Amino acid sequence: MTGLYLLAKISWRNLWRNPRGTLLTALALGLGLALLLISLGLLDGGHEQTIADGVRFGPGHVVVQARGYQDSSSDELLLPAQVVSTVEGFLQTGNIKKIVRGVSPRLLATGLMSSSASSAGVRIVGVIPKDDRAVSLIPQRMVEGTWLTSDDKLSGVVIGDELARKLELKIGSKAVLMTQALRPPGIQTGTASGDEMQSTLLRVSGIFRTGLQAIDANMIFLPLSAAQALLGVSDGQVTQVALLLVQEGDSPLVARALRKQLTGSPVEVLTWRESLPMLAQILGLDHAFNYIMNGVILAMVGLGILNTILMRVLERRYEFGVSKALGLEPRQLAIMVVGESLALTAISLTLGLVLGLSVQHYFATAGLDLRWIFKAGLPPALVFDPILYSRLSVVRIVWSVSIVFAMATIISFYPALKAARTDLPDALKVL
Amino acid sequence: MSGRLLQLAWRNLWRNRRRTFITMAAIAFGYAMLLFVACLMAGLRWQMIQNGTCLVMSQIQVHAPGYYPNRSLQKTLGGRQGTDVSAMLASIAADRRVNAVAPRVYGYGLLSAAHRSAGVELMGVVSEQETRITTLNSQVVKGTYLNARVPKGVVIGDKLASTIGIELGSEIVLLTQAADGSMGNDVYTVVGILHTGLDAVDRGLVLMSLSSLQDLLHLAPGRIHEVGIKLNHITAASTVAAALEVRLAKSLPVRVMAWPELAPELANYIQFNHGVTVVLFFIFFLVAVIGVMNTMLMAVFERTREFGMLMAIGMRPTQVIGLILTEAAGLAVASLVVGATLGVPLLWYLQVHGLDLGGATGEVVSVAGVVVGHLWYGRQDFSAYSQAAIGLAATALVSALYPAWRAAQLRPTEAMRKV
Repeated sequence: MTGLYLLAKISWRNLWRNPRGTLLTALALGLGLALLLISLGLLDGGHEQTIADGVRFGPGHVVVQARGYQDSSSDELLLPAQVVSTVEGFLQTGNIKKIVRGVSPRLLATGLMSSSASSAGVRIVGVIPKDDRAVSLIPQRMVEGTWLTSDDKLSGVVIGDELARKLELKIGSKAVLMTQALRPPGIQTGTASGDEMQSTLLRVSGIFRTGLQAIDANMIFLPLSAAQALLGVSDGQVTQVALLLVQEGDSPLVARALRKQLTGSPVEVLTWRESLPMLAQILGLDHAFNYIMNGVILAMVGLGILNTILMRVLERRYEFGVSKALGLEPRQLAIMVVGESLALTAISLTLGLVLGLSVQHYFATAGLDLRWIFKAGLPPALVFDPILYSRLSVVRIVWSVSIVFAMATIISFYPALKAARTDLPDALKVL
Repeated sequence: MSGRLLQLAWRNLWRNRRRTFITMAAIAFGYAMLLFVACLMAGLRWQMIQNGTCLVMSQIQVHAPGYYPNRSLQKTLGGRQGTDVSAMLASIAADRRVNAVAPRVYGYGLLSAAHRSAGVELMGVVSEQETRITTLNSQVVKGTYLNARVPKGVVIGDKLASTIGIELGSEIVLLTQAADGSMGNDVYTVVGILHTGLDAVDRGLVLMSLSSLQDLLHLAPGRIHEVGIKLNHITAASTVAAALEVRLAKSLPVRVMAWPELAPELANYIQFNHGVTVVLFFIFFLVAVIGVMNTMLMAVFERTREFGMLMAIGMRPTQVIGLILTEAAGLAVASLVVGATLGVPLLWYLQVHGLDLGGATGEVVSVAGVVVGHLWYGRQDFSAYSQAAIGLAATALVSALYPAWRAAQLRPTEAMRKV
């Protein structure tokens, strides 16, 4: 036992006998880990940001809608009002309430919007203004006027800037919205459809710009009650209830709980992975990209460690020779070298963690501003926030520290072997 | 003297082969990795541009001034008289940088079938020419693309088809306001259904032959709205667009726009992505630099004793520094060559076969209106390659210079005492 203690002591002293070499190695290893943490944080941050923006332009993290709506996207499929109240009631209960950020019932339909200048097909979204503000990103992307204010039937309409330009509409302009009453499937009126067309005069109260052509040129937002009246929808029916959660990771949990709660009703409860398969696929690609980048950076850090440790052993042949001449056994020599490596790795990782986490923390709070990359002259609208916020979970930190530690330990066995095998007379030869 | 120095440096490198090998490995491997990453990043950027433009938009569009983006029916090329379309196409194609050209007509209308109807965008194309500049024809999932056998055939998106409730072979009615102010309407047959992954196309586009759309809109055959252009090298798009505008304007008032102007959203996303990859590449570069720096510093520091010996037998400190720099430079160049040699098969593989990122999905996906496949191809970015090479070589030299300079400061006896 005393032998081991002595070896540990020698290892420790060896480290500080050549402080420059030790610090250099620690710095190299530490910087490697720090850079690994920083790049992981930026990659994960970008990933989460894409999900957050994606779902907030769409139906949120979890959506409840009539069964079959996802496949057919048929506007006639509506949710009965009692489902909406069940959902809203359920989300008020205990634990669920804490993980849900917003709930917004929406009515979706298509219509034709005309101004004196032109006309265009539009996607009508009827929302409760206050509720949708908590879910959608559109209210934050207003460029003129304001988001819908009250759930009043006489309130205005909010449109995208592409549509405004096409129809030559400004704040306060009037436009006519032509809609066809939504009929529940299976009920055929038998008469010509003309008698079910309705047109209403609306006043533009706000214009938004998201930078996404499909949204800016198509979507119009109305107060829910006004949309229901226009589309002949009675009894508070809506198309979907969109939920935004505090954490994306809770989506399957909330969806499962809602499914259980709504058993028996003709509804479907989908997470964003199901309601936005495109986004899920893009993120799959993004994920693969991140994996490759992580692999590359790990390989580079690993090679750095390998080089450093090999180099250290190389320059210490003479010293190992002396140790051996003084009577240290090969096994003891090996233990000493491994002990040294472990101590060195521990110091390096501490250094790397402190450095990496502080830079990561800066990028997580202040963000990394990418705006300098954008050429002047491009339109100011951004789909993507030009400031990238780093995001690093504890799991990721533990994972990267353990991998780097494992690599360093495994690699240090080689020099230990080398040291144990030192050939005495050869090693003691002076250069 | 310098000949001697070279000889000495050469022998030194071979004297301690393991040290030389380790240092070389650090530089070569770091460089190969940087090549790999740079190639993938350039590939991603290129693929986005390529895919973003090849589906419907095309790389360059020629319009009458004021036509874009409002797409007013009346503003055809050459005004109300129209123009000699084939002569114009030929004159554009005369530019050697142009790969293919195709004429187009656009309109808006109401599509109805059975009980339902929807507002749609109408696009009239000449299928033989259009398929040379865009790839919409390869996205047909049911039926066929436009063909001469069904002159009044249309191709529509799958979402539009399911919303309206129409299938292959269904008859549809298109209602529109024609150029002369009258209402145009006619019956068409659905010959193909396509799925692109882009909502605007899948839900709102009706593709038909150029001549039948001209008939519907009461436009004379000489009146078209747009000429789409595909270039041999997409990177030249803005330059070629500017040159074409100057040349074509001599005979006809035109506005020529390249893809960054036509799809600012795409250009914007590509810029964003470029920003992210530049930052990442910089981090990778730092990792490589640290590896090289550390290895080099150690390799030279451990030779302090040797330098003391050289100075003791009469070498001047500047000569010692010169010797080490020569060694470092030789080592750096050799390592970069090795790194590049390792990297070349990798880069070749990336460019030719691509990296399969999601065999499971196997479908097309869209990012910011860009359809991206699951195969990720590399693309050569020689400026990044040379920057990385210069950066690593400079790191190697500086990291060798510092310990050499420190050793040169010492008295030979001091230096020789260092172990």
